[in-house]
Amino acid sequence: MTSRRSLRTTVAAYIFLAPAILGLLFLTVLPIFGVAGISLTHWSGLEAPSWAGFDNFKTIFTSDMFFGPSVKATLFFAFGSVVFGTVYAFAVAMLLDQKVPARGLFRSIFFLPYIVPSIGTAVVWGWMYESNFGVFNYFLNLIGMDKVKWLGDDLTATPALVVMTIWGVGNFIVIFLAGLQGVPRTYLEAVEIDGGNAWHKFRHVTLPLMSPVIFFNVLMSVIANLQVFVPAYSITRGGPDNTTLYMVYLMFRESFQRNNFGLVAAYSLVFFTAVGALTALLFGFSKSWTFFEGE
Amino acid sequence: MKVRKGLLISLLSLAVCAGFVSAQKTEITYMCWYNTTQSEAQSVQAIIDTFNNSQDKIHVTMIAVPRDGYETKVNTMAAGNQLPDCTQLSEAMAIQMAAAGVLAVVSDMYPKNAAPLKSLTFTYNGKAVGYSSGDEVLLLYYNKKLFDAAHLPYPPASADKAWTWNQFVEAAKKLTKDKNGKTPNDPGFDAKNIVTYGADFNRLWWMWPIVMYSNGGGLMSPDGKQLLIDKPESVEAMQKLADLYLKDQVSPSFADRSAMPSLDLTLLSNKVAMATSGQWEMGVSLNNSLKDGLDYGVGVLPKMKVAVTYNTGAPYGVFKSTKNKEAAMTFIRWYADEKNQWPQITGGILMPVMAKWYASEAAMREWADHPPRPPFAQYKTAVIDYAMHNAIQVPWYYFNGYQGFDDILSSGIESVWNGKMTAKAYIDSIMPQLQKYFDEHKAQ
Amino acid sequence: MKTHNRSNIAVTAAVIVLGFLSVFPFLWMLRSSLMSNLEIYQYPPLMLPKTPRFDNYVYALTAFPFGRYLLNTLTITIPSVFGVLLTSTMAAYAFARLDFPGRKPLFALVIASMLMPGAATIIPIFKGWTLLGLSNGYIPLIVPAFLGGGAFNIFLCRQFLMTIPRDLDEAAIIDGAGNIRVLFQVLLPLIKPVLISIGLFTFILYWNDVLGPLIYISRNEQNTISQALANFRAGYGTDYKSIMAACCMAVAPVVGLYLVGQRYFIEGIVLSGMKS
Repeated sequence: MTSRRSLRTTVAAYIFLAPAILGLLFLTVLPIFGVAGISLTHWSGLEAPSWAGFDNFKTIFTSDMFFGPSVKATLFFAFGSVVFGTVYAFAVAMLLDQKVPARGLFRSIFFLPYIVPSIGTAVVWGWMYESNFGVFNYFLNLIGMDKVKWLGDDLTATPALVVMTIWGVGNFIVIFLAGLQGVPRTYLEAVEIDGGNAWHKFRHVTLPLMSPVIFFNVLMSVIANLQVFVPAYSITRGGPDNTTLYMVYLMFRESFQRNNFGLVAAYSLVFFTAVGALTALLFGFSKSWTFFEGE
Repeated sequence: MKVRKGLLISLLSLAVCAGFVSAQKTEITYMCWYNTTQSEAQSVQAIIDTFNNSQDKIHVTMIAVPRDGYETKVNTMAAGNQLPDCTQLSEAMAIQMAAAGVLAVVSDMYPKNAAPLKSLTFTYNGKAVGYSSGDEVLLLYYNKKLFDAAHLPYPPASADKAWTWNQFVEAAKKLTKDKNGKTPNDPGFDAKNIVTYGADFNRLWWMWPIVMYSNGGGLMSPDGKQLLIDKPESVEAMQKLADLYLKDQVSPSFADRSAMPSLDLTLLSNKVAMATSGQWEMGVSLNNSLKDGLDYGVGVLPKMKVAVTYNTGAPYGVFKSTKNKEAAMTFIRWYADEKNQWPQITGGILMPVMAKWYASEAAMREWADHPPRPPFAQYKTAVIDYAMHNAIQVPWYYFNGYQGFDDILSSGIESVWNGKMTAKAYIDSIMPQLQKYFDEHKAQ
Repeated sequence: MKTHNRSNIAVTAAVIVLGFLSVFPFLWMLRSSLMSNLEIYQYPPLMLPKTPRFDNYVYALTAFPFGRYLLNTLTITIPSVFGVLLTSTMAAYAFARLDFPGRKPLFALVIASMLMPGAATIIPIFKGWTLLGLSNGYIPLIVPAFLGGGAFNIFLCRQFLMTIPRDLDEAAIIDGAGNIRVLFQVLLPLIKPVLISIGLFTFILYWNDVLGPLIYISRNEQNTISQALANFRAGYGTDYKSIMAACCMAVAPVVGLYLVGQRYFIEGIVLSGMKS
């Protein structure tokens, strides 16, 4: 009786899992082998691939002009977006957690940028950042400062795009707000009774209780931001001086526009394996590991 | 009875088949791009409709793509074995595609004595893989009224009288005005508040290297086998170009220039007194402001040592994968024929590609002696003769992978235009990669 | 008391300022879409157009046929949302409710794939589709939704399922229900919140996607809204009045959807982020 049930259950389980397993196979596992394979070829995409051995990898680590700057730019962007985005979102959430009038309205205002399609965000912000006619430079002029070439200067291009990305962290704000509102008031009051101030409340109650949520969302944000594409594709095209030559954009350009599929596969392998390993490490060492154990 | 019936039936079916076969047209697809609006494609469709209606052997279907996504589209189509039969090709990609083996050789498209100009032929391994759809050369445009106001002679309209670089800069200085009306020659010139720039020598990625050739150097040798960019003449030329903004103070910065509106508005609003650009401006932009009072002239580029200009023109290509090469070539031959593109030719957008249109003055007048082009006398020497005798090909006519080459060349080039790096320092810094790329891609 | 009021005022002020900064880009986009290019290029910039030029939208619609792009985007998005909901729920049910050999390693694999950036495997997947001859069209964009719908969604759904006591399951099983009925009749109504959450997320993801359509959709008539806006932006360069109008049109549907289903959006996002 039990063994039949087990068998039936097992069969049922695998039927239910069939789509997901197919997905894992064809969208994750096999493609990874595919990337590895393609990275060992020279392939223009227009004709059959030819064997390259480790040439592409050699190129990446010696003469390639773009991989290094791209890694730098991407990491810089992701770091800025995640760190400042999280801090900003948390700060706004904490503000909204106070007695603020029309909180619902404000929550909507802060959330809305999140659902704007990234291309729309890029177009509008690109225009606002425009050096000669853009409104940001107008405000600078109003306070007596010179215009800044936001998207045209090496030092300001990625930060400008980071600010644009931070504008869109509405999902974090909402999540953190909900999390904050879930912090039991009794704990906070306990700190007060013990003579603690707002900082102590934050450090000893709020932060620890929120840390799993923060960590999980930061992780997802890191993965997403490392794959930034739209701002580079639609506004900066990788410039100025390759400071916004983000990895996914570089990969798209070098494969679909410069016909170098083999090299791009190598890019992919090197960059994303490194990132994946790092992420897995962080993931493994975090307390949140227990979260997913919940059987 | 049976036999006769049988015969009748066979004859009938034969007739039906024959009729069917002769009524069947060869279907081919032609891909092109539009620069801004999809409505540009409508004018192309109109011409294609004319072709389709003018004969019943070939039927062409147009596929129009935004210019931006064109390369991607070709790649995805190639990967899916869905390439069209023929296409407008991007100059930068043409030889690359030939090298990858997707382009058919088209040297038999034209009879030997009635082929397009040799300077307009894209060649790979000595064989023609595409002919430019029109001839374009780089020219010097200028605002006549500003010259009159400054009592300066107009820039020369023939190559033998071309200004030297110094003469060019001198004229530009006299035409550059800051908001107080001062020129760079005057004390107290306010370079931060320039109202009229004397000159803008176009720093667009594929246009500016002409100065290197003018100085006796260049990007690469015309046989595509040797890099010339690190020669002192090339470096010097690049620096002189950058100095128009950095030292001479007659040009806008690269970023400011990119933010300027179209050439006609730029000249009309007196933002710039002289600017270089392609012949097409006459039909694409300058014509729009004639009614608003734009009075422009056209001249030859200033020379450093040699009077030289670039010629270019996007080619048409036929894909090797086509099953209807003859039909595709027939269509392209028809489509490229100037008479079928006449509005573009007389409208100032394109110059003809066939030698016969340059063979006699009468032939030249037929297509060139119309507004929006300037008066024929000036146009003939400044443009036609210039194109015939002083033009060299942009390297993409023969170099495999010009786009990738430029990725390297242009990646940090703004440092030179902005003065952060000297031309020498910049070129030295990219030479290793440039040389490597060049060696991997050059003609063997 | 006084300090409370003062800090309250400070907080409210901060919220108002940040809120204004947050809403500003929307206002700027709207304002620009109703001006002429001459007005747009004026410096110092005008805050409002002299007369709102609604004909900008008419003009933009000729080159940016919004209706068609909307239809295209929905053609991809709606089946995908359905596919994601279906297959991720199925997988989550298996992980949460069934005991079978290989469950732990398989789930670990799911988690691991959640950490893998999708961008890493674009090329092999693209080549795979070309081998199947399906690389031009909607299929490559829709099918992945039916193959498990994404590790994150499986994970989310599974976590949520685990918070639901098994009593109802067991009652149904005693009544003779098979797995399908347990999942679809008993549990489905209870997991509505997470389904709405996943549905909304997926919807936004597909609405937003530019790279996918760029690679797989080459016929202009089939463009999605985001893809069309990217092309539009590239082509129209300096015609900002039209670009802004197109932008407004691309953004409006999602904003509208939000205004209608606010509660669900917020609840959904919270759920995804808190997953407990």
